Amino acid sequence: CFRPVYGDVSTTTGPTKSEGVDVERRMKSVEVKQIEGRVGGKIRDELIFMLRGGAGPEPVVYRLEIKRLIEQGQSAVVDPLSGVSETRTISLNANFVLTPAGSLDPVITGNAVASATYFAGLQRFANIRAERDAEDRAAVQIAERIRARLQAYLVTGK
Amino acid sequence: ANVDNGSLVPPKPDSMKHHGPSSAVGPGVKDEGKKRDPNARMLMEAKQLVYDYDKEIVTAVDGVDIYYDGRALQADRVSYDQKANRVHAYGHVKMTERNGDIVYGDEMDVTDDFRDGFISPLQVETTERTRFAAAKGRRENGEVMVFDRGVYTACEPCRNNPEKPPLWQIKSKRIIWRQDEKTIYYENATFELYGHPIAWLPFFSSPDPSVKRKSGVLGPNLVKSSDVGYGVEVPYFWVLSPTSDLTLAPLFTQKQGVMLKGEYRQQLIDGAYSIRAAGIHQLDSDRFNDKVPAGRTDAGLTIGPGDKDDRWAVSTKGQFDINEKWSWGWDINAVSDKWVRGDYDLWGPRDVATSTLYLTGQGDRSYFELRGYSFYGMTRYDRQDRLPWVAPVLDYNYTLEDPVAGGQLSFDINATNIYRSESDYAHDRTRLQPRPDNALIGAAGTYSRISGDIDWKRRFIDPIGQVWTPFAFARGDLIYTKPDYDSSMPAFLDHEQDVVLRGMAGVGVEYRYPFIARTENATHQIEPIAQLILRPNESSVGKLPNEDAQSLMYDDTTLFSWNKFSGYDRIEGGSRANVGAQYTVTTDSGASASAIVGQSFALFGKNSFRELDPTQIGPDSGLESARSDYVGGVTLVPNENFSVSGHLRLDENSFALRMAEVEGRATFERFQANLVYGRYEKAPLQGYDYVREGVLAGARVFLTKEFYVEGGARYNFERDTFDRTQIGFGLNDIMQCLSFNFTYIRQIDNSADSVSLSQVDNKFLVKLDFRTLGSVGLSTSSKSNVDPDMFGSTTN
Amino acid sequence: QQAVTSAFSGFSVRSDEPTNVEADNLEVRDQEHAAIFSGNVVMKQGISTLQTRKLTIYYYDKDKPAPAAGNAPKPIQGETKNPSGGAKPESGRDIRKMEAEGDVVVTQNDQKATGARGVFDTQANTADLTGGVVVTQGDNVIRGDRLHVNLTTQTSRIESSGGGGRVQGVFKPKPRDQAASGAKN
Repeated sequence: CFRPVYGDVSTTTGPTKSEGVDVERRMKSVEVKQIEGRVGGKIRDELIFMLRGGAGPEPVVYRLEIKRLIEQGQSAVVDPLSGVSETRTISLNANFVLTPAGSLDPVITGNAVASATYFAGLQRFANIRAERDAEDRAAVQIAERIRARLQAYLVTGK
Repeated sequence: ANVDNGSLVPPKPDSMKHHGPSSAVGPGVKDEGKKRDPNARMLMEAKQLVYDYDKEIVTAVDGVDIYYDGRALQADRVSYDQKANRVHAYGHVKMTERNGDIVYGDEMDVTDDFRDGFISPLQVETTERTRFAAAKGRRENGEVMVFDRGVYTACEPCRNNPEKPPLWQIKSKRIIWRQDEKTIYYENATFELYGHPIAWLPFFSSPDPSVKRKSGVLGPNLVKSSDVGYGVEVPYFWVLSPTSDLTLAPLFTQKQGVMLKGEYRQQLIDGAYSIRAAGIHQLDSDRFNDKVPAGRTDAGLTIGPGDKDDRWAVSTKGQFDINEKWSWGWDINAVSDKWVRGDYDLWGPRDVATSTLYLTGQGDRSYFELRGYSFYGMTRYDRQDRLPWVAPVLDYNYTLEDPVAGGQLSFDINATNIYRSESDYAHDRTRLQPRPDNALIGAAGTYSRISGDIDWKRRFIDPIGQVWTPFAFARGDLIYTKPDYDSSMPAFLDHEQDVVLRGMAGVGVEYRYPFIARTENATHQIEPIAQLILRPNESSVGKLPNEDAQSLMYDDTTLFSWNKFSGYDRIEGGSRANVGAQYTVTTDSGASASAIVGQSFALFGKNSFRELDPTQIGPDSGLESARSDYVGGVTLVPNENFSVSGHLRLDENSFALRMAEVEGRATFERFQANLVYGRYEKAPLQGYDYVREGVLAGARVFLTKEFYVEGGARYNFERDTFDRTQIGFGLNDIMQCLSFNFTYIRQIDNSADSVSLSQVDNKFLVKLDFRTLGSVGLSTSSKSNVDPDMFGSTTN
Repeated sequence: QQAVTSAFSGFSVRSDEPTNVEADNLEVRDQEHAAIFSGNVVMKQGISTLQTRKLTIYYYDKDKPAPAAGNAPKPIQGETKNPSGGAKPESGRDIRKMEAEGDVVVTQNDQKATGARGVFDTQANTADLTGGVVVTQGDNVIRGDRLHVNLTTQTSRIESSGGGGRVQGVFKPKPRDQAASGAKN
């Protein structure tokens, strides 16, 4: 049954009294490795806040690495006569790995996927900026999904 | 932007362009020519050795192995005449060269350093898995191999019946393989496919398969289209130096004369650049000019290249690393007219030629990007002076590593400077006239803005596990705008020159209460989320142009954004509450799924999404009412090769469908597919009087390990037409020597010729790639290119 | 250009060189028509030298004529360094066969053959060396289990003793400039 992820509310079957607080500390001990590129940097910044909640870095117990980050774009609606895309969907696919510090074999691997769409038109500069925003939105979703997977592991050990 | 990421550096070895340098050190280089090692010993092993002292002949019998100067020779019987320095080998002779090539024969009579001699019959298997065979062969000073009545192929022999002729082979009276020049010469050669001769050439040469980058002629491409007629392009690849090369590809056309095409690539220590150009003086320009009926003009837009005889396209690209954090570069494209890329099937996207110059830097918690842009619109609706010059546009964000007041402080800077000479109004495409009652999506004149944004947030977790994240942000803009008046502008923008100071500040809190449950092998998490943002109203809406925030997409990805606008030119004002819930399930096997639902409430103050700016975005976004539409999103990722996600927006009262989207992707080894469907509510104020709905789907299935079929289509519901359909099949690397691809493309012709959706361009593409020989291409219409979107393009 | 000859050519029947043997001691067994030299035996004949630990020489019977080999077997002079050796073999007796045992080394200017045991059959004009045979000739070296030398045809055959054994030969191809075809030794 459901129980709070954090806090030290203990239920008979739930984590022990201090475990809730322990999850927050464990989250803070995850170091996120540098990711190349603008979108990678955005994902990393979001992840670091979601893990540390603004606190400073703690001694590293786990290392999270984004092994592969693929960005692809597709246009569903295109004006047939001119070939101008009227909508464009940016999708990100991040393959991530969580490895205990000092060891090489990961404890969890996973794939996070997110997509975000923007309206496009003849003003190409507006398209470029809208694509940048769509990348950022997808990056936030990627960070949320990776955090959720980490949270599941840190709480349940699986 | 869909970047055509042509290659910047000289080609990596790939089957298409198989010319290339032998690597500097040349491990793979056949070093026959190397002087014989004077003190090399010849080791001979056999069941029995007979030494004839008089004739000084050593005869080894029964399973002879000889090792000498890096080579190995095996045979049933070998006699080595020391006086005459000759080695005669008889029976199952197999000689392995220094670089691994293997020479087979029944009888071999060579000098004792294996450099000269006769082998019959001769068979050679190279480390590149290519094969030579001949009734009789000769080897001269270790560098030249001559095959009398020789056969060359790169195909694996058929396993269960090696006698069957290989998929393709070249039979010729004489094959001369000059290993010093790394070239194979064929005299009187017939090319056989499945054993049937299909081409005869008096003389023909191809590079030695071990060479990865060498000057030489590449496979020709045949072209046919109504305006250009038949054409053949014969590319020549010229290695200028280990770090630079030049590809010249003249296109000889039947009706328009010769188009010179060339690409120069230069690799430097810290980066690389390339220059690509094509140019033609057309012999019969009228073929392109008479397309659009005289009376008909598209909203006054010029259609077709007119009587332009000289047509060209130039692109240059460069990227250099200043150090491991900073790099700069350019990607500049220029064309003679809108239609040259389509008419001559040149490189690059067909709808715009974007030029940019950039400097980027990435730190541990920061990113810097300084760019300049200029655009050459190439669609029928584009007018050059409606497209902006943008220089500079600067983005810098920095997040402090150490906490400030226990929370995270980060700030962003953006500076944008834009000039365009003529205003651009959204117009209803079907009637092709600008509608003054539509939006002003590009104000003529100069618009410059510098924005600074700072935000702080900190997470608290209370004893019962509730997560509170108070946050605060502040934003300041300094704007200088000098619009150029035209009659339609006042309806959207007051046109006086102006310097405006605009700011925004806000505080808020995000509340989450995450719960978790563990089932047999999955973990479920559910968390209600609520955001309360208190902020003053947005100022000077409608008084300023909107250049970088023209796309407003309200869905589950923007539900919890503090500023739902997509750029700096608009700032969300007024207090707002965003409420929703998020559910995530993750399994031990790595599968995962997540869902979000929510709604947004405009509390007090002016709802920025009801205010109209020149681009009129907001009213149709679903945020215009105090209670926003419902939004939701689902993402399923069962494994790393398959994912599908959907987004939905329903009207807050009638639950009518306002926006629906599905995006999916499959990347299995033998099945790849991509899908995107979108349905977006009418936006009349922006010129969309109709529901924008379209679907793009593409798939490729490998029926066998080598044979695949592929297809894709894009359908526009409102226009009820497939603007693009593509089917094809192909064979990948069968018998490791032949790849073949056939593609048929049916596409609405959006180039100069067509004025209605009924005009369609049918295109057939055939590509044959003979490993180590090169590939031959045939395309029967020079209009369209293979749309990378069809199979999901990778933009970075 | 001096013909290359096998190290054993000295023992060939055709060679009319005198043969002399030195050894630590000698034992003569007349009824077996044999003389057994032992201890650092060194036998010289012409340009060939045989060293071994023990050498047994068998003679033809005095009253039986030598086989009509067409060439007269060589007389043998033997002397022993060690006075304590047995009687001296009668010089001039014809050798039928010789058997050398223990560190047999046969040499002749730049050629050498070594083995554990050697048998020299003057009648068949052949010589056989067995037991870890190594033949060196200038820079060429051949190693095998058994060496059979036919002194009439001047050929020597090195064999492995079967059972997967291999004969190994290392040869140094004579340097030849591109022009000259024949090669000096």
